[in-house]
Amino acid sequence: MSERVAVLDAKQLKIFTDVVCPFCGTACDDLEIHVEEGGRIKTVKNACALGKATYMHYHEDLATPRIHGQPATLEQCIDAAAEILAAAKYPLIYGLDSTELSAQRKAIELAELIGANIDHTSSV
Amino acid sequence: MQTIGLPTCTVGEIKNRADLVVYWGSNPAEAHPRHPSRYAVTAKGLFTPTGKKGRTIVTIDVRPTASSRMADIAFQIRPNTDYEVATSLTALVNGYELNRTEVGGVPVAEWKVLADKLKSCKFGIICWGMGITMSRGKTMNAIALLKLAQALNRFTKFSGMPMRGHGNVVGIAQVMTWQTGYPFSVNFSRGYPRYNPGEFSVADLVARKEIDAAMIMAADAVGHLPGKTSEHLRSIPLIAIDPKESDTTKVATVVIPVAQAAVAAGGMSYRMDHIPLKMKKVVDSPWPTDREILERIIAKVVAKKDCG
Repeated sequence: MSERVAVLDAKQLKIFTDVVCPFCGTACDDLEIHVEEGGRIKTVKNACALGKATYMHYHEDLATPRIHGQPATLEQCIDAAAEILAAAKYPLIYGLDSTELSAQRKAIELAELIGANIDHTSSV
Repeated sequence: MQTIGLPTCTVGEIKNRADLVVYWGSNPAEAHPRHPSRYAVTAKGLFTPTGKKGRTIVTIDVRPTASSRMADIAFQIRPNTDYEVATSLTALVNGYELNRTEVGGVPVAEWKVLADKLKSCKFGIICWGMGITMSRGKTMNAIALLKLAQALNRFTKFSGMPMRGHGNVVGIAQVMTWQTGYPFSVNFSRGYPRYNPGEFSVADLVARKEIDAAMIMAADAVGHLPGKTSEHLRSIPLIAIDPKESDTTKVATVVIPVAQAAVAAGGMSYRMDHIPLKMKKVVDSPWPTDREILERIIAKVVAKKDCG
């Protein structure tokens, strides 16, 4: 897994090679991704339609921090979440499949801390 | 799998060794588009220099699919007969005769031909998918396939592999297993992990309206759980941690945006054959990573609990 990132002066493209695709379990590790200045993903090479869409549509439908539908700061949201979880008697932590290992590990730590149920998409 | 073990291999072994591949209840052409070309059908490897020419591709499914079109032999079986077919094949492999003319809508003579092919290959693999785990029999179907692979190991080398997908599901199962001892549906209410699918699995907990708060992370529970089931989630405090808007974030009490793993955050992820790979960060995000959000929530929960 080489860490080559070549910057082309002409277009200021950042080129990432040998990128591992997150979409399905095949985990293709030969993607080449070109990122423009300003962080927009311009091209995705070698990926299938599903993997390509994951990167090309990354900037669409991004979530915003909200409490009861009203915009809030990230800090307020984290505080509200902690409030809910600390007060809950029988909480559930669910999901966790589209993230990386260290976050998954932290989620289990949190489940143990609050005595929660923890489950993921495999059981559905 | 917890009952009989998993005779498995890596996808590299499929690429380099397999001369017979069975796709059973899986449709890689649509769900894992590059699995055939990178690993299992046209891929050329050390002992498979001719690629597809040197391989026998078998599909077993309830309907013709994009994948069955690339198969050398495509079986179309009646829905919900996977268990009978798998156990009958195991019996045929072990040398028993069947006292009927058809199994799963396919003549026994054809299954006999397949059983001989399975026995005479050099290195075979069964890649099964949701067609197995979501039809009648569920986990028992997967166990039957693994038993078939085990039986075949008396004659040749044979493996089984679930076509896992959707991001890092293998990763969370692995992490839960080495952290708690169980792969999913774990409950910490007594301070130690207890495992009981049906009691602590998400669909049942929500359907029975037992939970009084939920944190949904990197998944769309409201969009994916059965219709009536997800209604309970709307009536309780719901926290959604997700890089994108989804049905869950639309109804959540608290929405926390994050940097999307593998796009705006690096980290490790498991491939379907349980090999961890490093994912790269290719763009910047204004939001912290999943891990950082959780660390901050944990710190605050500890502080709140300490205050009473």
